[in-house]
Amino acid sequence: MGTQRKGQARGVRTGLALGAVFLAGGVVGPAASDPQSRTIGLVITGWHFALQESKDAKSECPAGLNADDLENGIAQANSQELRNKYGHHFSRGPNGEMSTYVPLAVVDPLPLRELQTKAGFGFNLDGTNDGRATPHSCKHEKFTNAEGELVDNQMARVFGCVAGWRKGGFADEFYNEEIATNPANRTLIEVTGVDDERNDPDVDIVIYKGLDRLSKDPSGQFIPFLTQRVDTELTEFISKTHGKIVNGVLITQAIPVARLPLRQIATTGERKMHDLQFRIVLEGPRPSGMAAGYEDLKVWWNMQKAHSISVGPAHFSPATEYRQAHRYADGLPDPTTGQCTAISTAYRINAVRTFIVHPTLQQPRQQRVAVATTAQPQ
Amino acid sequence: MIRDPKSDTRRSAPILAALLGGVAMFGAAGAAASAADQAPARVEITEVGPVFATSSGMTLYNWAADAATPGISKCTNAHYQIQSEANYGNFPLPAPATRKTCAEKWPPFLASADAKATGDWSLIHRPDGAMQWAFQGRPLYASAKDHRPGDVNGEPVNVRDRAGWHVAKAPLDFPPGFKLVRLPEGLVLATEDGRPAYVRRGGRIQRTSSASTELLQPIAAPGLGHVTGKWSIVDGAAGSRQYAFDGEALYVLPVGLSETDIKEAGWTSAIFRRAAPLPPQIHTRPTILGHIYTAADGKSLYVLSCAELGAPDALPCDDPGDAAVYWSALCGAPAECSRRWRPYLAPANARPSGEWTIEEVSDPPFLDAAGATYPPGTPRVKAWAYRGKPLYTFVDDDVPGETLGHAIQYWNRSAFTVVNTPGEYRDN
Repeated sequence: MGTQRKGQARGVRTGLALGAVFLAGGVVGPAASDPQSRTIGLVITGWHFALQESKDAKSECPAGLNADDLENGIAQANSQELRNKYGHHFSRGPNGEMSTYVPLAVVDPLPLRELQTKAGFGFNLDGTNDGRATPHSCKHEKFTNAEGELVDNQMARVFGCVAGWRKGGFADEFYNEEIATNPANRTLIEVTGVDDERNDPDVDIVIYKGLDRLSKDPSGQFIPFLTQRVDTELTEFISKTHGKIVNGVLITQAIPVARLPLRQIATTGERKMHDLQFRIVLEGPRPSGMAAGYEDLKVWWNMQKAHSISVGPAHFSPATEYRQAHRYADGLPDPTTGQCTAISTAYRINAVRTFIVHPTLQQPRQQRVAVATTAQPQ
Repeated sequence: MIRDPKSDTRRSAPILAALLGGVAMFGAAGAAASAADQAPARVEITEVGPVFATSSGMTLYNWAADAATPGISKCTNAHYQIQSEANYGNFPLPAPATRKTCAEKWPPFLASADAKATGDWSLIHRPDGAMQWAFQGRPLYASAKDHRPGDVNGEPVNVRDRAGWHVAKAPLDFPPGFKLVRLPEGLVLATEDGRPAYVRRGGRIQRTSSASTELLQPIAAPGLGHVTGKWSIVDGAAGSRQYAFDGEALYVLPVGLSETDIKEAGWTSAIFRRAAPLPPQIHTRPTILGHIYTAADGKSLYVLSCAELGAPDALPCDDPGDAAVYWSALCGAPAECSRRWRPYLAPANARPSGEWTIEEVSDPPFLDAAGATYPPGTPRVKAWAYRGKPLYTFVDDDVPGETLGHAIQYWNRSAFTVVNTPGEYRDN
């Protein structure tokens, strides 16, 4: 039972308990009002597309991996003319457009190599077994996961045969390094009202933007049980839901709209997901699991712009990906056009246990002094 | 080119003496008076700090590229046609017919034929035979971006502007261990590690042993220290000596604490120069990118910055009349650019303040992607600008605090960025 409801059921009404009882892997913060329940704190340390990947990609991408922006640019009939007129290989549109920002002005001449597998990862987001259109989704094809469940992950069709976002790809590796090194990427998950970490039918979950860095031990593993402060200034990055723990797996209900901080390929922005859900195996100090929901296409594409500097090393083509993402979009149909505005996406996530601290006036953000030490007058 | 009529050291001395005397009133004197009297430039206290300026008050700048070649200016009147980029080779520069030279964008600060070097001030020979002033070996330039005395429009707005041009900062006659940091309230005295100094709000401190010093530490002064201008050394608690500015003793927070604790406790930052007030139409708010400037409805405001870093002269390309591709690469045809990036219009009664001005903006920004921006005949609107750069809202930002237009960039050349408030420097 969630914290507040459990407290009410027991007739226990404690006030906000700063100063907190430290229990296994968490700290009781403002969300916890029941002194008999526990809190689990998690900080995300890894976030990858959940893709079906064989080592040589031949089973899922039999035609090979997709050509990137540069290769398509060179193959474009008027590439030399555009380059001389506008001054860059990546000015590929008739007005010198970069495909990252004006993807529909550019047409890739090289053939598209589509994902060819029916196996995949994710959750059944639309609740159907056939992917038919519903008031909240567009018609799409399902994947089957290892447990035989039919799941939604249309983003895998966009990136499944793109080298940069596959395991070991430049974009995936770069972004995950940024999770470790840049506090702008800090996402915290606080589970309160936990009576039993193995099985609890009702727990409360809050997603926060955090403020702090992650630390690794000499072997390169993230160190668990350190403190992470909540960013109380940016409340738009706080989302709440309920969930349950079944045999040690945290299963959350969907968060209708969740905004998550995102620092990706050297640019800070955000991720906006609809119906975001988590399933996390809580065992041990370094839990892992999956997050899935519908990526909001507009916000997602505006973060893809960050990749303008990595279209070369990451080997992808924005013109193709934009079209593919809209072609395969399966969530939140526009009531006027019927075109879906979001796309089902599943991510493999990693986390470590952490003590989540809710700053108060006695625990200020300490931002300004740190900033001032590196600032140049503007 | 800027040929300063007061750059003749014999004629400029009385004026400079008066100017530096004024600076001393603010506590920011230059070098010793005898040397300062002969300096060819004056010192202006701007929003970004004390800077060297021409006799008419126009801000002077240095270029980082000159640092590697002391006594030589790399900013010339050469017309470049080709740029190069690692991994991608050489390319023609866009819109070559309208491309300006470095010396046109950054006019050198010229000296008269009979000018003489003095102290830190030296003279360098330009390729065309003219003489240019340099301070501590670094050539000085004005900026074509500046239109009025006190403008600092050549100073970068965002860390993504890497062309290497910065205002020529005038040396501060501060006691050792002090510098200036820029915060929303203005230029603030700070310790060398960047911690702002504080004074007690609303009153002078003669001798302090109050409980408040448990949090704020007095900034200790040496027993035999010597200070000038508005600086003084006062008796602190327990017989210690403490720096004071404008008669008020200075304190600093211990490392790791912020001002959040003390603002309500009767302390305020030690302001060297208060910031010009924000225009009523300009607001601020916290975002994922830090505190930024917004429109009155909370929507994020953006500027376009541009430099041709692949060219030897790294020329700015965000001025009216520069190549249009630095827009079209990011937003396409003129109408689409106009749809995506809306100039933030200034009302008819809007008045400039500090770095905030009202500028005529071409909307759409160009007509031919292979041509130049601001072509004759395009409609003009009056829009707010920051450091001379017009401010825009972005079409995809639906709610206050969204920053979806940030870092839309044409490689290392043009980029739309939010504008952080002072002290919110971040590597965004």
